[in-house]
Amino acid sequence: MKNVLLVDDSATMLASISGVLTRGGYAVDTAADGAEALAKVTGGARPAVVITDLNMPNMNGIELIREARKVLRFTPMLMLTTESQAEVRAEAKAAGATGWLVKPVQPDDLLKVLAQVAP
Amino acid sequence: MRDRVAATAVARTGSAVAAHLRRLGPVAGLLDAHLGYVVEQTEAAAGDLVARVTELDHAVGGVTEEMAGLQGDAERSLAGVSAQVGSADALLTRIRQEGAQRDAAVLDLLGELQAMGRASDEMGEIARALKILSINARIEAARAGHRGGTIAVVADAVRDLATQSEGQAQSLGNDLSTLRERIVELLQASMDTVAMQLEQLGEELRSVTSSQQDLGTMVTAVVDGVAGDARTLGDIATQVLAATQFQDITRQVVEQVRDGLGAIGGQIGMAAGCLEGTGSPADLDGELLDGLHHAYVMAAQRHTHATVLAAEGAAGVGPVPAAVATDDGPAIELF
Repeated sequence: MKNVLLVDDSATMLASISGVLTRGGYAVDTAADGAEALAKVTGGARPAVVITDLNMPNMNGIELIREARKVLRFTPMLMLTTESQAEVRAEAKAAGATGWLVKPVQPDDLLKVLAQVAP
Repeated sequence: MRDRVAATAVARTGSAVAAHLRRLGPVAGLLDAHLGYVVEQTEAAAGDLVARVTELDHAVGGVTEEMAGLQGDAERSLAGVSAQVGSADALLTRIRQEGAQRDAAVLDLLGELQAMGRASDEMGEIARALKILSINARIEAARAGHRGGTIAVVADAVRDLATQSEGQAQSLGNDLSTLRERIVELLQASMDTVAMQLEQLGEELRSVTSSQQDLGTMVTAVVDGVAGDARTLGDIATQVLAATQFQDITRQVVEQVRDGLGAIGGQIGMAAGCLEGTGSPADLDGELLDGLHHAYVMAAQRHTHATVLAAEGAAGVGPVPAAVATDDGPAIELF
């Protein structure tokens, strides 16, 4: 069972997306912001995929990806956010993001993307 | 003089407006608090909804597992019954075969009894022939006169023996005949009874097999039905979980509004300062409206989807509408 590290400052979103991922056959680890997620990664967590929100306290999603990419060189990292501006996408891509998903995302679409980036 | 009066009037008006604007500042804070309360309440409600749907999903998963277990138990049980029926059927076949072998053996014995009966008849014939022979010997002894006395004694002895032999042969024949008849009766009764019991047993085995197949079909139908319902419930749970993304979207929109209210409050304070002569119009943010408008346009797209979801929700839980491509790019993009 593949493990997904899900990062969002909204407890509702964490529970919601965790439920979708669990039903899709994934094990889910969660973090409430980028700093907590980075601590897990530097502490040895090796998720198959990282899914992160953009706007979070302490450390946002792009900063998380930029830092986590130093440890998880080949791990797919997806942004899942309400934002969609091209310049922010470009920034995320430059930081090492694998893809960009705009909320709300359909469960099937999310699982298809996961299957595509982490077959 | 008139200009001074007018300037004083303007200053008084400005002071009054500034004072009014100063009173509006807390209003923005009050509205912010209201919206904060809305965010807090909707988040709590959404969190509760997610928790309950997750519980429901786990319960559905539990039911699915129990159904799978039940089906496994039923299949093992039915396989056991099937094996036992098969064993009983094989035993039945063996009983039939052994019964047939026993019947054949008894028929062979009856044949031997019949042969013994014929031997008894022959012994009777021989005895009767000896009797005739003894009579003839007696006649010859009479013709021989006193020389025939010994022959007469022997002839009498032979006659007596022949008579006894004839009686014994007849008695033996009768006994054999009676024994054969009794064996035939017993065999026939046994054959009829065993055949009927075997037929009943076979019928019961066929009934058990049929009931077993019916039970298996029913269990499969029930399990399939429950599994299908569980899948449907699971899909609904997933859709409901996904639908709660709108709470997060709404929260962010409301927070943008709160930020906007804060900015407006600040601008009102600055405008009041301008009127009071403590601030400069240059400090006012001329691009505030543009920023708020951009945030509104972003939120409006989401509102469209939220409306669609609400409409589908009113008609029953439907699929979560996917975010659509925006002017800034597709809703899903892999780099």
